[in-house]
Amino acid sequence: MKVNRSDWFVTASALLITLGAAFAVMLVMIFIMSETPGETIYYFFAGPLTNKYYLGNMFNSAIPLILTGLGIAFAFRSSMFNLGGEGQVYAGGLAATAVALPLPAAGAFFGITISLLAAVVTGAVIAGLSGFFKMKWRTDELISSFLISNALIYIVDNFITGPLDDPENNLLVTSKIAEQYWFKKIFLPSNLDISIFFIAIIAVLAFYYLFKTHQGYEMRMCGLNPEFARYGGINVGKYMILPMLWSGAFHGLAGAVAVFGTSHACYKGFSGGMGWNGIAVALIARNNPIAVIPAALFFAYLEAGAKSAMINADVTIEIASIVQSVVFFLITAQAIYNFVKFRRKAV
Amino acid sequence: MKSNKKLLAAAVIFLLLITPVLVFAGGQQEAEPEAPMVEKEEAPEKKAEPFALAVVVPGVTAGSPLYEQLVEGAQQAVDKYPNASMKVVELGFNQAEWAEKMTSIVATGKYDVVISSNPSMPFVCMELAGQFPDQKFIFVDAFIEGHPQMASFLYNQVEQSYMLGYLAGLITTSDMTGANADLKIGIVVAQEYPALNKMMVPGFLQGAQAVNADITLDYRVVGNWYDANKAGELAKSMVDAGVDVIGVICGGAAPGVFEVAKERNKYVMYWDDNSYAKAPGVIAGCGALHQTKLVSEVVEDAINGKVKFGTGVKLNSRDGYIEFIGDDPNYLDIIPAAMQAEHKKVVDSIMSGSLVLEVPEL
Repeated sequence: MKVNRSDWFVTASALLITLGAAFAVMLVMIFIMSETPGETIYYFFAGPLTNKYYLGNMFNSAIPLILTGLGIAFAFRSSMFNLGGEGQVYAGGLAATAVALPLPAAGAFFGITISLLAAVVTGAVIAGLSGFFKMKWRTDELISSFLISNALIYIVDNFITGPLDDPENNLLVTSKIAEQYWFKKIFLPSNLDISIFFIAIIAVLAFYYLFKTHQGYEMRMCGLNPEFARYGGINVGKYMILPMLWSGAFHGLAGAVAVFGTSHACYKGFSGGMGWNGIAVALIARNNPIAVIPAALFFAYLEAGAKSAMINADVTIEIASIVQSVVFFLITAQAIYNFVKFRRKAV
Repeated sequence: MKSNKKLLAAAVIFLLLITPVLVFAGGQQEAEPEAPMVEKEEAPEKKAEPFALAVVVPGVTAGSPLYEQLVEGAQQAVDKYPNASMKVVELGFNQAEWAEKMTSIVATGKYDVVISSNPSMPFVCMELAGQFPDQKFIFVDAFIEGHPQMASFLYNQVEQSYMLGYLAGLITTSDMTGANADLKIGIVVAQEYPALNKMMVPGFLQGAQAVNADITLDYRVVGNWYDANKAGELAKSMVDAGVDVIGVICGGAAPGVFEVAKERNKYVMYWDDNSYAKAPGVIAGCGALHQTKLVSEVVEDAINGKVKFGTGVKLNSRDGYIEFIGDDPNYLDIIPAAMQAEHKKVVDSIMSGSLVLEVPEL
């Protein structure tokens, strides 16, 4: 993958401006919201790095974001838009839990494997539907993935608060999965678990698939110029479904990893923000699977900083959402700009 | 290319400009002594040892009467002691994050005691209590017994629910406007949980059936604490099925029920707080928990080292923490005098202990 120097400058400067603007907004918000802005700023920036617990949890919350970022990157590379990440993560988490719960005595390897498989298949099928609809009836996948996801959220809610609800628990949550399925913690007392290594390997494999395999090449060609790809003999219809399948699979896996690694049960609304933040992560990473890792860490850092400021100073957790929204807004605006530029060139 | 370089340079300059602000902010933090967290008043008793309290709200304070009372009660107690300070931390609505956020609070090592209010909190804190064996917890509106780091205070919700159920029974068997002959009352709850399943719903039905044993209960679950539209839809369906009095234990979703009850001339029973003013003419009965009083007393005890950790205390109306609000003008307007008198007899019998309603095993 050769990178043009001019492109590099555009990318780097746009990214720096975006992040700089986001931090500037955050500083303004802190000065408005906090009575002790110095303290708040200190805890926001330094808090996540001050002890093992905060640091480990920051890495831990980056894990699902890496997966959702990969999912979005796969779709975007093929010019497919998957806006249904939230529902796919949520449904994936539920599917994995629903498979694990009836198997309290199964071996860890077997139980984890089929549960994760269930999550991957669930996510893939949900997102794949939008790809199929696009191939078959030219349905806009941006709309269909969003609508399907929104409907699914209510269905998953219903399962969590209904048939799978744990009546002995005061929270809106399913029963806990058996202990042998819990991912091993590697940085106590934080929640960081062993899956981070596997997720990093998955990101590398995703890069290899996209940029070093024939199928990855065809997928990217379909994204860059579908008409050219069709002229070159590529089955363009196939690449309306395949990237969505991949995208959904990553999202479903993110849900399962969040449950098996951290919460060990499916909480109502546990996936809040993972899908949407995955879009921002992919856009910051310019849809590069390797760059998704630092981008996800950046988002996790924002959230960890906000939590630290909330606990140690006098602001609420919403400050993280505001900064993330600003990043999302600016990055999306940049993406639209690029998209328009690309379309103009294509015409 | 040139313009790209300019753009990059501008971005770098911008980041350099904000860096001193960040560095200054950090330096300032180190230099400044820790600001007092609350204003102090005259202290009745002086204690040399500083006492730091974390008031953890599992949700958000605004709009939740019990959480508002939790913060108010803690503040009242802390204000009396110059050595005491408190910090309020809201955990937000994502329950999946509660344990992690709670752990983050405890991990700071800053707080002598963490106080919270919600039946789920002892279980949320169970695992982290093992990781931080020196941390003490106080839970109100929750029950756990025998854990050396935890003290809990549980309201006898059977009593409150019985009082409200009895009034619902009187209304549904009456000839008040909107009451019908179906002998059906209803309850809309946000979610199922042990205190609800074992105390509140059975207590409500038991109270109604004390009026007429044929009364039945239509029970509906919203699935969250905020969806007023869904609660309204459930209420409509209940009214269509013949329900004329609806109990609401669904937090922010309750206004949906109020609206339907107002449109269809039905009545609502409300738990935990004097909320007649939220829907005048619709809310016919309110129970109340005196959480401000409880929390204030408990926090004072904690500051003075008098809390017995490892115990779970069950509080009833005779202790002064639970009551039925029978003197509100809205209540007096809706309920006929004869019915008020009949209801008062039952409330008095509970308050005096002649009618005993035990808290079941949770």
